[in-house]
This record gives sequence, C-alpha cells and structure tokens, in this order.
Amino acid sequence: MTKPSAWRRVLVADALVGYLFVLPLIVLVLGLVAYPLGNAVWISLTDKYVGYASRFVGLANYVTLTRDPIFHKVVWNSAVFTLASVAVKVVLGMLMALALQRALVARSFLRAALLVPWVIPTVITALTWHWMFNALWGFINVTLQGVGLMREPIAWLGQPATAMAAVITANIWRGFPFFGVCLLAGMQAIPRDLYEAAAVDGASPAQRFWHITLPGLRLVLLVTTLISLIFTLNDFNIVYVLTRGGPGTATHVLATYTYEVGFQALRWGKAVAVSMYPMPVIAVMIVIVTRYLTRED
Amino acid sequence: MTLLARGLSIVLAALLLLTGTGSPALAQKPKIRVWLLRTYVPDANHALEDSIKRWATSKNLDPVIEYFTFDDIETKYVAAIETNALPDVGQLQTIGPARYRGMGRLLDLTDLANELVRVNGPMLESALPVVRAPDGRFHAVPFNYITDMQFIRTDLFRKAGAKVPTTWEEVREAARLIKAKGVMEYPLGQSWNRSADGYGVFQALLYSHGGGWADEQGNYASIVNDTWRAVVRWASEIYLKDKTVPPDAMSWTGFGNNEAFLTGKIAFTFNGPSIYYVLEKEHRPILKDTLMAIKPAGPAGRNHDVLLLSWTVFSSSKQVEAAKDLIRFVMSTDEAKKYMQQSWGQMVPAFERLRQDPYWQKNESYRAVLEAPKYARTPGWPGPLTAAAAEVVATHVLTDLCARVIVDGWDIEKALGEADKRIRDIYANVPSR
Repeated sequence: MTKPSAWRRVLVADALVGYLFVLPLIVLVLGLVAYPLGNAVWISLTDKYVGYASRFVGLANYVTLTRDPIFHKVVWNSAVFTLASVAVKVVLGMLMALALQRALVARSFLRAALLVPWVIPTVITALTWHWMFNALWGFINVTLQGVGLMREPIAWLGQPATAMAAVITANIWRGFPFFGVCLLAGMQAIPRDLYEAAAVDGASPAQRFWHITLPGLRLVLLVTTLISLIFTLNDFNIVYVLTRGGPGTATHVLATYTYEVGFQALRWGKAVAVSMYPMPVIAVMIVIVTRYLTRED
Repeated sequence: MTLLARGLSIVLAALLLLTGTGSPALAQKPKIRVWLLRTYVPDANHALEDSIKRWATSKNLDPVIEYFTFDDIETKYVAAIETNALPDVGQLQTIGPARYRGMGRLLDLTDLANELVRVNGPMLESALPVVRAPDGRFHAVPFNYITDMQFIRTDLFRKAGAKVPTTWEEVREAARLIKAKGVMEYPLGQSWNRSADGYGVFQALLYSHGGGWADEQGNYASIVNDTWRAVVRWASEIYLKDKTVPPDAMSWTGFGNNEAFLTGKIAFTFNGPSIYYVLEKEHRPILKDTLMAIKPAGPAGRNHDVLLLSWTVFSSSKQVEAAKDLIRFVMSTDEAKKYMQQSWGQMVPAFERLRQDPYWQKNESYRAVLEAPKYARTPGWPGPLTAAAAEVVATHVLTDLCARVIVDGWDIEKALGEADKRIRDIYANVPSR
C-alpha cells in the first residue's frame, strides 16, 4: 500500500514543479497581455479624460463612434491602406523571392540589398518618401518635368487619391522584403526533386510555380500575410510623418486617429474605443496564425 | 572564505555602491526635474540650460533636464499626468495652463507672478489670458512668445510691383499679382494642415474678421454665420480660385512652408521666426531680401493667434520652493536678457522692461517681431482660454473645416455644419472646471 502513495507524492511534486516552471510565463502573460488588454477594454467603457477620474459609460464611446463621420472615413482609409499595401507586398515579395532563388551571381549582395528597406528606420523611410513626393522639388516631379513627361507638377500628397497612393507606396517599399525573405525561406524548404520530376514530365516554369511552388508556400504565405495585415493595420509612423493624416482626413487611419483623440483631445475613453474597433478582426487573424504556427504538420 | 561567501560579499559591495549607502562621498544631491522645450535655436537652448545648471550648483541641487519638442509636448505631459510622473518645473505651450490647471496639476503662482512684475515690469495684456485663470490666479508665469510672422521676399514683391500686405485682402491681391506677372507660379505658402502653421494662421484670419466660436463668457457661440463664411471663403479661394498656393500645401507638415521659403519656392508665408533664424545663422543669400512683418489686419483689426511659452510648478513637486526659486532665477532681468540675446530674435519677452532692451532695435524685422505679440489673442477669443477652446484647436477642427471645402469639395455651408457639430460636442463634453 505504501508504494502507490509514494508514487502519488512523486506525481504531485512533479506537478508542482511543472506549475512552478510555467509560473513566470503565466505572470508575464497576465501582466503584459491580459492586464493591459483588460484595462484597455475597461477604459473604452468609461468617459476617461486625461487628468480626471473616469466614469463607467457602457458602450457610449462605441455608439458615438458609429455616428462620427471622421471615424467612418478613418475606417475606410485603414481598410484601403491595409489591403492595398498587403496585396502589393505579397506580389512584390513573391517576385523578390523568385528572383533571389534563381540569382546566379551576387546572390548574397542582392539579398542584403533587398533587405535594406526593411531594416532602415521607418521615420527615415517616411521622410525620404516625403521628399520624393514633394510637388515643387520632389524627385518624382522634378524628374518627370525634366524629361518632358509632365508640364504641371502633380500634388502627390495634396490630393486624397494620390496621397493615399503615396502612403501605400511608402508602406509597400518598407514591407515587401519581409515577404521576400519569408517566402524565400519557404521556397528553399520545397524538395528539389519535385521540380526535377515536373521538368522531366514537361511542366513549364509557370506550371511548376502554380502546382509546386505556390502549394508549397501556402502555409508561409498565409502566416506572413496575416502578420503583415496586423502590422499594417496598426501602422502609425509612415502616415504620421508623410501626411499627418492629411490632406484633411484623406489618409487618417486608425492609429493616427487614436493618437489624435487620445493625446490631443485628451479623451482616452474614446481613443481606446477607436483602437478596440478592429480588435475582433485582429483576434480572428491571430487565432488563425496561432493555429497554423502550432500545427504539427 | 568559501567561494559562496566571497561571491555574496562582492554582490553586497556592488549593491551598496549602486544604492549610494556605502560611503558618504557617494551621497547624491537632491534632484530637481525640469522639462524644457527644445526650440530650433540651439544657442538659446544652451543658454537656458547653462542658467539652470548655474542656479542648481549654487543651491547644491542636481538638475535633471529633459526636453520635448513642439510635436510631443502634449504627448509627454499627458503620459506624465496619467502615470504621476510630472516634473517639478516645466514649460507649457499656450493651451497648457488652461488644460492642466483644471486637473489640479498646477500650483498657484500668483505671488511669483507679482514678484516678476515688480522686477521686470508689467506683462503684456495678451499674456494674461494664457497664464491667468478667469478667477485672477496665476498658475503659470510667462517665459517668451514665439510669434508667428509674415515672411516676405521683397525682391520678388518688387519685381511684381506688389506691396507688403497689411490686410488679408492684400495678401490675396499680392499673390495674384505675383502669379499674373509670371514672377512665381505659386507664391503664397499657406497650408491648412494639422500643425500650428494651419490652425494658428486660421485663428489670425478668423479673429481679424471679428469671428470666433465662443462668447465673452467662454460659452460656445454658433459658427454658422456670415463672418465664418467669409473667412472660409478666403481660406479656400486661395486654393480653388486664385490657385496661388503650391498644389501639395494642404499636406505639408510643420516644416513644409519653412522648406518652401528657404529654398526660394514661394514668395511669402506665415510662420514663427525660425525661418529668419536659419537665414541669419547660415548667412543665406536671400536674407537681404527677406522681411519679417506683422501679420495682416482684417475688417475687425489686427487680432492674431498666440504662442506663449510659460513656466509652471506642478502640484506633485516635493520641492516647491526650489522650483519657484529656479523660475525666479531664470526670469531675473540679467538671466532673461542672456537668454533673449542668444535667441537670434526668436524669443520675445512678455515683460515690459525686457522688451525695452536695445537688442530689439537691430532692424525692421526685429522690431516687428517685438511688436507682434501685442495683437495676440488666445484660442476661444473673445472669451477666456478654456479647456474646451484648447481642444477645438488641438483637434484640428478649424483646419479640417477648410480641408472639407478644398480637398473634399464640400460647399462651405455643409463644412460649417460639420465643424459646428464638432465644436458643440467638445463644449458639451469637456470636463468643465
């Protein structure tokens, strides 16, 4: 009878040690994720104004935002900015990965060079594009006028459509190497013999890409796209430095509007509600990413 | 000694050194935290920092000086308020005292304000609404104005036969003339953007036309009226009708017009005196052809926006007397003049005796800079500067109004309706203290 009891003691001790090992992680998750998130949800349900005590107002901030025409514009702008940026980044990233995989000379140099946009500070990227898009002395207009392709300067940052295109362009330029690197890593994990067998069977390069490369990259592509969607949706720096959300509210996105409502209007309850609106979408994306990342196959 | 004991004693010694309890020689001086604006004039920044350090040495204090810029001043204070990490002494921009005194974060500095008046003479009338609460108490004392000016390229004006504008209508006329004479396609550098270059100039235009969004008691007064229509018409027609403004000006950030003027792409603009500082400091060739003039008048006279930096002591300070003494020192006549003379004509004093210094008689531009703050009006004029009025400016309602017409193609009536609703909402919901 003593034997099972001793065994149980060992099991209990093991379980305790196990809990002890995961305790730091639990504390970290609770302290750095659960508490801030819970607190943010709470603040969004109050009329918190900087420097004053908050009062519970239920869903009033969320309801107010549904009637706020600037918020409507901001949501639309965020959707356009995010989807257009990520779509082009996927295509350019794929082209970059294919080119790098096939490059015969200076492969290391090319890889390093194409990573430059991704590693330089975002503010530098935004300021550089700001100069390039300037109507009077920017590189693009000066060049187009210089070669006779344009007589009147184009106000790239001064009109809603071109300003949005400009911030998307800057975001794409900064972000496509992330796709390139991830997809290149994915391509290198695809067995070479699949390509060789397909070539023997007479498959064209396009067919090999469509039937071998693309299915082989499905998982990487999905995870990379979802991560990029989350980061792009939360992007602040590029828009803030390039246009401050202007002209008017033409490029105002969720991040810049949250900043404006929180730090300039001092209305934290409303600001946090602004940033909470995309949470369900982001949460779904996070769940999908996590499920794929933790899949054993 | 075992290895463990030796290790423990080393750790203990290191901790003692770090906490400063190991030796009296390592005892730290009491700290005083000071937050300053990093202006675009390094000489002036150094002069002020030097002044603070000399004062601290004489008081056996350790000054911890931290800087913010025009862009993050509110961000830094907001974060500090919510985390109870405010400094002992800080500089505030125009809307700061009205916003933070209602939160109970600023000490009553009425005695100090009276003392500075005795030392440096009376302060300009235009400074009072910024630093003095409607109940007559001071929660801040003036430091210096950084005044928005009209920058004119006199050579280009001469070439076109245009005169220096003294009214807002003359601004449009001059721009049209310069364009019509082929001197410059886009002579007027005026953006209605999300920076002080936008909402500051809009206030000057509005107040000079006799408009406002509050009555004398500080209550909201509807903006849907003919004065506002005329002002928005002026603001939008320079883009849509005259086409005298660079096409991308609406998306300029705070330095867009500086850049355009300094590179000779525009003939005139409204800006803080920083442009003149760069021209003077770097001996730029166009300095001789650049004039700083007071901004124009409107049908209701000259009523302009204001950027007044002030000093305050935060109620959370544990060193209130030292904090007040620091302000007393840097605002003493000698120290204030040292700072002023290192500012390249950028920092205009609010106190009469400092204003009489011959430094300001250097040339026509310096005299104009000295004169300009007399016409300064606070947000919410003709009412007092309140937290609600500050929020109207800080949330870009004024420039969004112009953008709705210029960028989104709305008619003036519809744009006014939206702005009216936004301002009403601000006044209805701002904590009224």
